[in-house]
Amino acid sequence: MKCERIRTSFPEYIGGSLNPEERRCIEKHLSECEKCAKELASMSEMWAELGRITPEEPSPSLRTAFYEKLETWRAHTVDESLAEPVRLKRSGMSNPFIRLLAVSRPVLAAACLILGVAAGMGIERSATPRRDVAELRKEVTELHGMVTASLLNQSSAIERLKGIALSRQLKEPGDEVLSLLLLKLNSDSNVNVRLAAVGALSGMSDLPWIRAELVASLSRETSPLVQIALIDLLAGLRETRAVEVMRALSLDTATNETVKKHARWGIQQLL
Amino acid sequence: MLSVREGDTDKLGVLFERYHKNLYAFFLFQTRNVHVSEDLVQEVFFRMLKYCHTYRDKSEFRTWMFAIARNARIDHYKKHAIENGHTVITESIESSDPAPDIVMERENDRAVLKKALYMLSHDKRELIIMARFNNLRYHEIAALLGCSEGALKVRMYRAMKELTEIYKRLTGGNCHEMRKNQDIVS
Repeated sequence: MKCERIRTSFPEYIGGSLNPEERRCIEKHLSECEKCAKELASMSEMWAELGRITPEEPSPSLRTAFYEKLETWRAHTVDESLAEPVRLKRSGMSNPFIRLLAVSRPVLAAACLILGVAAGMGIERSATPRRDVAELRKEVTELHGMVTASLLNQSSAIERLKGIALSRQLKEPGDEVLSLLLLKLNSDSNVNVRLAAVGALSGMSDLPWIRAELVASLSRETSPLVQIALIDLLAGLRETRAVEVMRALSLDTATNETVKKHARWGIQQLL
Repeated sequence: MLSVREGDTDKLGVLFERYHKNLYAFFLFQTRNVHVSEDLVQEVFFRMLKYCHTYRDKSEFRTWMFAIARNARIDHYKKHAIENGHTVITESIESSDPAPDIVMERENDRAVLKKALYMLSHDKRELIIMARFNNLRYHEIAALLGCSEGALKVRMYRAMKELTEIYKRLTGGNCHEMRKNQDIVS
């Protein structure tokens, strides 16, 4: 019975959370009971071995997705708090779909435009079946790119974030969209937009010049969050040109301590 | 969290930076699915926004956050009806370079230990994860599970004992340190 009671304290004993008196009591018992001492040894070893497992880290896209979602949540909250009471009083529109319409006006406008053009082209195709389908697809893609570029140029951060989200759906973003994404990464005043731009550009990083731009961005960036996202991305891409920039960051006294640590980790990954 | 409750949602970013890796480990050890774990981490932070009014001034933040995390995971399992999460995994291959023998051996030990951990029942595994990887204290875990600290001690002991037994069974009765000692002797 005594053994059983003592053993239930083993996890706490190993974890170091027992008070000195309880520890002494256990140690006294261990000196007299070989079986308990053996069990504690096995359990201690297991506990130590568990501590050697390094938990995996999430992908950089988790951070990007979180900040995008947070920005969307804020926009919903602001829109609802400003517009909804009046609208609900006037017309009793409590339907969530109506609320969604109000919140996402620019995106819906863009979607309607794309749908309209696609439908128009469909009608035209049925009338002239020999029209080149590939050409029509190209036109829709171009239109998609135009809408993306338009959203990226909006003054509202939430619209720019929507533009970045739309850019991710483009299979082959044109030079204009790529340039705008880089512009957002390098000069947008909103840190969440810059973070989202890192996420979007990660999907286009097979282009060597984009990688070079990402390295250059890391040397200019001042926000720790964006710096960390860029280090994660460049380390994941095995972009060795980033080593010097990471080294400079890790040595710069003005760099945030977490970023310094991350930069050192990045260098280890790349060397 | 108090600032978030008062409407300063920028502070949610601070909480995210501080705790997202901890939560990710909590979910990954249980679901073994990277995508599900990342989704659940996001879900926790947005539930914090949604239910911030339930956070009391003197609440222990980590206990409150992990209560939300546990509920999010339970809801996920209910929704997808996969209590034991036999889904896509996860464990990334960190390097394809051939490793020295000693590193290989240690990696192998850890792979076996992870296997042993996954062979535990869900409740026991969760206890060990919270105590070892999330560094939650006993009184925090007891509050989360709604049991006394005394009852928690017994449960923790049983979980660790079972893990040790499974691990020994998988390694043929020898743990790493024991094998190391044998190597030295031979």
